[in-house]
Amino acid sequence: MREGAATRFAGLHRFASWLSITPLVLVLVPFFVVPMLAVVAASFMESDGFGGIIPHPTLDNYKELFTSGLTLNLYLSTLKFTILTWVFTFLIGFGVAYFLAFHVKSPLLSTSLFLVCTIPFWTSNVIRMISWIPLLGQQGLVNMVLTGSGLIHQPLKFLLFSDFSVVVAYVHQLTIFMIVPIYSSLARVDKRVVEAALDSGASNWDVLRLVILPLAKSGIALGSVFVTSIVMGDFFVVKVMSGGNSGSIVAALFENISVLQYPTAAAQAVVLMLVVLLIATIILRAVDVRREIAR
Amino acid sequence: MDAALCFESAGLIKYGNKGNMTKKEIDFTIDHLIALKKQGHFRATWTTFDQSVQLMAAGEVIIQSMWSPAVAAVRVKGMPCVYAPVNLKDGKEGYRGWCNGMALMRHLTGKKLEAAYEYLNWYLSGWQGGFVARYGYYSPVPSTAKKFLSPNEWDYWYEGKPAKAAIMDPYGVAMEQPGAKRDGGSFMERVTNISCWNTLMDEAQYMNKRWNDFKVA
Repeated sequence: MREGAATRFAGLHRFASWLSITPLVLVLVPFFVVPMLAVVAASFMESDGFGGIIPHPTLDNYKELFTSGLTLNLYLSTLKFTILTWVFTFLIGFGVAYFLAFHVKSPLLSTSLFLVCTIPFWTSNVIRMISWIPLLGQQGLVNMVLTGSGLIHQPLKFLLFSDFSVVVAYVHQLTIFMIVPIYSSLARVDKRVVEAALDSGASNWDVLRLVILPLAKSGIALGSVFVTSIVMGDFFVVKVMSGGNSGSIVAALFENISVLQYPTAAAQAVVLMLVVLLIATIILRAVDVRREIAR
Repeated sequence: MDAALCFESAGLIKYGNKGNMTKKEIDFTIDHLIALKKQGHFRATWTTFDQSVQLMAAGEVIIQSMWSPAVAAVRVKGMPCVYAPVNLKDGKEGYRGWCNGMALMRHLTGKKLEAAYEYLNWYLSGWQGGFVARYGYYSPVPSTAKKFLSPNEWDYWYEGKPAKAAIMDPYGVAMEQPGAKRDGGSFMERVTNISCWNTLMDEAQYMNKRWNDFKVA
């Protein structure tokens, strides 16, 4: 009798947990899983060259993708932007978060300074990116100051429409995605831990390296997932800031869509998704975010 | 295609049809473009009207392939933006021509079909032709566009004659001073100097792949 009640309760419990994920499933399946499957299906079809998809299964799209040197170049180019952006957003983001969490004594001031960090993000991404152009151009502000002060005689061309300007725009846009999670993990660090480490004879550098960095791990991991997935999935910043001189995976994908080569674009999208998933898995494997957050 | 025109007039290659290149011709064109890019010949490429205007107006580039309205937009800023003389057909480049037209969808019936026809009729009735003529474009029905242009404008844009009074852009801003002449001459002269047309090539997919090679090179 008691056993029966327990089983019934377990059954009810299982039913309840199904019920509680239902809203998420109802959103995810039609708006994420189904379109995704459509893209995967399209990637195995032939194109008629005019935007039509011929329902005839083929592996040609993938064969073409994996045998072309272009794919490798595009991935290398995107990876270069991702790594550079990650390095700079991490250095700046960690620095800002560290300063806010440990050097600003008043919690109120610290929180308000943190909010100040978000003010630039009240304007749109596009505007923040475009505003670099008049600044960095050949007759832009930076070059005007440099030539005007006699430091250089020829305007610096590498400032705009180059890898430099792409990375500047990315770092400007994405540093907040590093600051927020790192700050939130550092804000929860008990200051007494740092004091204890100092009392035990650790140098400031040791405290940073052995105490604070490990405690910021979850924030760094989350920030890294944001930054890498955004950079790898972006094409607009590369397109505008490189002046069309650099490619990225999604930029090439977009070119294919604009000439109605949907199956090729679908295959590129599937491969990119797998690569980004892989990177995110590696990052999240290295840091058990769930445990760190529950801490 | 502009690059193809240049390579041909430089005597590097002879194309069968620049509007529908073979894979070999595409390879030649893109490979040469990549070599030029490596030598630092390209500052930027543009995809929108606004970008092409900004590139020229900000002094980032000194020569580019440009739409007529974009040239007009640079000129009204007071910058002397001129068309390079590439209009000699025999032995030299000639123009790259393009045109577009509107077509009705097959599923239209009844009122929707009538509305679509009404729109087409309005579109060809001259106001649109007059408006785009002040950008330097031609209407498919010049005779109706003529009604919406002053004799001075008609002579300048269509006949290739020197302007008797200042020429305005579509928004009424002065663009050319009296005495200025349109590059390439009259409509007839210009249209007979077209040497290739923009098309969706048979090898469009291959062209696109090679274009991405150029971008990432």
